[in-house]
Amino acid sequence: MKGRPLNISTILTVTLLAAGLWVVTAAAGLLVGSTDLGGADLLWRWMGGELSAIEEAILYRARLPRVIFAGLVGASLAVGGAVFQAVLRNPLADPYILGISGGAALGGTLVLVLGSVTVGAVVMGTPVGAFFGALAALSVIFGVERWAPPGRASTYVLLLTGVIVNAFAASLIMFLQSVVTARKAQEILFYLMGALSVEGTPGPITIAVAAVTFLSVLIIYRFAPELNVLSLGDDDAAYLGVDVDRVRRITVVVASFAVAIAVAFSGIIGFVGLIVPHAVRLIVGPDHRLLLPACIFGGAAFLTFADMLARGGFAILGTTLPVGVLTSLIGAPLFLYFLWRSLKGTGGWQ
Amino acid sequence: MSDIIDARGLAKAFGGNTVLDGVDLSASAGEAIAVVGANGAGKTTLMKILVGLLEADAGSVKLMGDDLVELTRRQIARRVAVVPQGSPQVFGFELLEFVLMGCYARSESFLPTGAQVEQAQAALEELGLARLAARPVSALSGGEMQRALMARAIVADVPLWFLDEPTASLDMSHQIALLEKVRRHVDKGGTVLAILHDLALVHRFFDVVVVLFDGQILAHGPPDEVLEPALVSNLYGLPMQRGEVDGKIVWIAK
Repeated sequence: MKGRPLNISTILTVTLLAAGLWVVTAAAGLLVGSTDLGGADLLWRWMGGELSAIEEAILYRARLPRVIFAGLVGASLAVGGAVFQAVLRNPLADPYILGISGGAALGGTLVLVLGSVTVGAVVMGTPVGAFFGALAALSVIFGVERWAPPGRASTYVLLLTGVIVNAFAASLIMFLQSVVTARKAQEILFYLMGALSVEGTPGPITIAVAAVTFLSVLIIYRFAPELNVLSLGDDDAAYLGVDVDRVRRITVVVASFAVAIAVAFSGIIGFVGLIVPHAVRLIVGPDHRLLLPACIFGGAAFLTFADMLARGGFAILGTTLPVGVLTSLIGAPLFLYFLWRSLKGTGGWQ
Repeated sequence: MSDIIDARGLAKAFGGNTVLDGVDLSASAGEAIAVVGANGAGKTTLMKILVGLLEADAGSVKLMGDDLVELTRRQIARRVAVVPQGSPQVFGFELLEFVLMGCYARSESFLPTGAQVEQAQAALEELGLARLAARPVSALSGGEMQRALMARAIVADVPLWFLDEPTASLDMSHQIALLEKVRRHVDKGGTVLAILHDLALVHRFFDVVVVLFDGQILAHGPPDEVLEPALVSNLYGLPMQRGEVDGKIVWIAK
C-alpha cells in the first residue's frame, strides 16, 4: 500500500467498505425483481408491516434466498479465484480450473436426465448431483496429483488434470444432451448457463451453506501470509520457510470444497472468480491479508448486483436472464481491459 | 570446527546424468566460502541440496548440528537465508512488502510488527533502495532486484547466508558494496556460502574457495593458495593468467 506497511486499521477500513458495498447491493436486490413489486414503496410498506401474503412470499421465498445465495456463491468464487491465482502463480486461474465446473455440471446434468431421487424426506435434486460431481472431479485430480513427485511438478499436474477433467465432463454432457428429447436438452442448456435457481431452498440448508462458506473463508484467511509468500514462487516460498506442499494442499482443498458447494446451488457462473480478484487487486494491492476480505464482499456484491440485473433488467424483453450469461457478458470485456491495463503498465498483475 | 554446515558424500544425478559425485563441504562460524566452477559444474545443485530444496541421492547434510532432513522448512529458514539468482514476479508486491516477507519464518504475528518494518526499511536504506520502497518489485531492474533479494536476506536475521551469484547483475560499485556487507556479516560471526564467477572478488572477500569440477571438489582452501594458473586454466578450459595490482589479485584470460 504505497510504501506503507499493512496495519489492522487498513484491513478493517477496506473490509467495512467492501461489506458496505455488499449491504447496499443486497438491499437493492431485495427491491428489484421480475415482478412490479419493488422500489421505495415496498420498503415503506415493509417497514410498516403492511405487506400482503403474496408480497411476503415474493420477498422472503423468491428474492431473499437469491440475494443470500448470490452473496455466498459470489464470495466463494472470488476467494477461490484469489487462492488459485496465488498457489498456481497464474493470474488466469479461476476456481473452476481444477475441473470443479465440469464435475458439477455433469453431476447436475445427470440428475436432470435420470430424474431426482428422494431419500427419506430429502429430494436429491441438481444441487446434490452437482456437489457430488464436483467432489468426484476433485478426487480424480488429487488422486492423480498424489502420483506426482512433491514440489514443482504438482502445479502442472493439477492444472493439466483439471483441463482434462473439464474436457471429459463436457463431452459426456454433450453426449447426454444428444440422446435426450429436445425439451430435456433445452432444460440442460438453461441449467448449464448458471441460473441461481434457489427459490424455496429450506432455511436449514441455507444456514448450513452459509456456515461452511464462512468456515472455509476463515481457514483460508488464516493462511493469508503463506499465500503472499507462495505467490512469489515455489522455490522462493520454500527458502522463506513455507511448507509449500502442505499450504497448497490445504488452501486448494478448502477453496475447492467451498466452490463445490456454491456451484451445487448456482450452476456454473463464469468470470466471477477471475474478474473479482483482479479488480480488487487493482484497488488494494496483492497482499492477501487485505485482498481476501475485500474479495469476500466484493465477490458477494458483484454477483448480487449481476443477479439483480439478470432478474429485473430485462423486463423489457419479457424475460429474465440466467445470471451466468450476464457475468460472462460483463466479465469478458472487463478482463480484456485488465489485461490491456497491466500490459501497458509497469508489469505485474497488481 | 565445522559446526555450521557439515555435508558428506553428497551425490545427485538427474536422469542418469551425474551432477554431484561425493561432495564433502564444511563451514564454521565467521567463515566466507566461495564456490567456483564452470557452468554446469553442479554449484546451484549443491546449494539447493544444502538448503533442502533438492534431495541428495546419497550423503548427509547437517546444519548447525541438526540433520537437514529432520528440520521443517520454517526451521531451515530460521538458520539459512537464500539469495537466489532472481525471482520473476507475477503479482505486483511493493518492494517494502517483498522485503518484509524475509521475516516470515521468524515472525509470530499475522501482520508485520513495527520492529520488522524498521528492519526492512533499514535494509533498504543500506542497499540504496529506500526511495524505491513503494515500487512494484516486478518493475525493478535486474540489479535492483538482486539488491532487493539481499535486503530480504538481511531482514531474515539468520547466521547463515547462501548467495547464488549475488553480484551477477550488479555494477562494479554495487558489487563491492554488497560483498563488503557480506564481509561484515562474516566478521560478526556469520557464515556465508556464495557461488561466484569473478575470481578477483573471491581473493578479496572470501576465506575459503571450493572448486567444483564435473560434480567433484577439485580443490579447496584459502583462495590465494588454491587458485593458481594451472588449476584455473584447467577449470575453465582456457589459458588464464594471474596478476597483481596494488596488492590485489586479478585474473585475465589469455
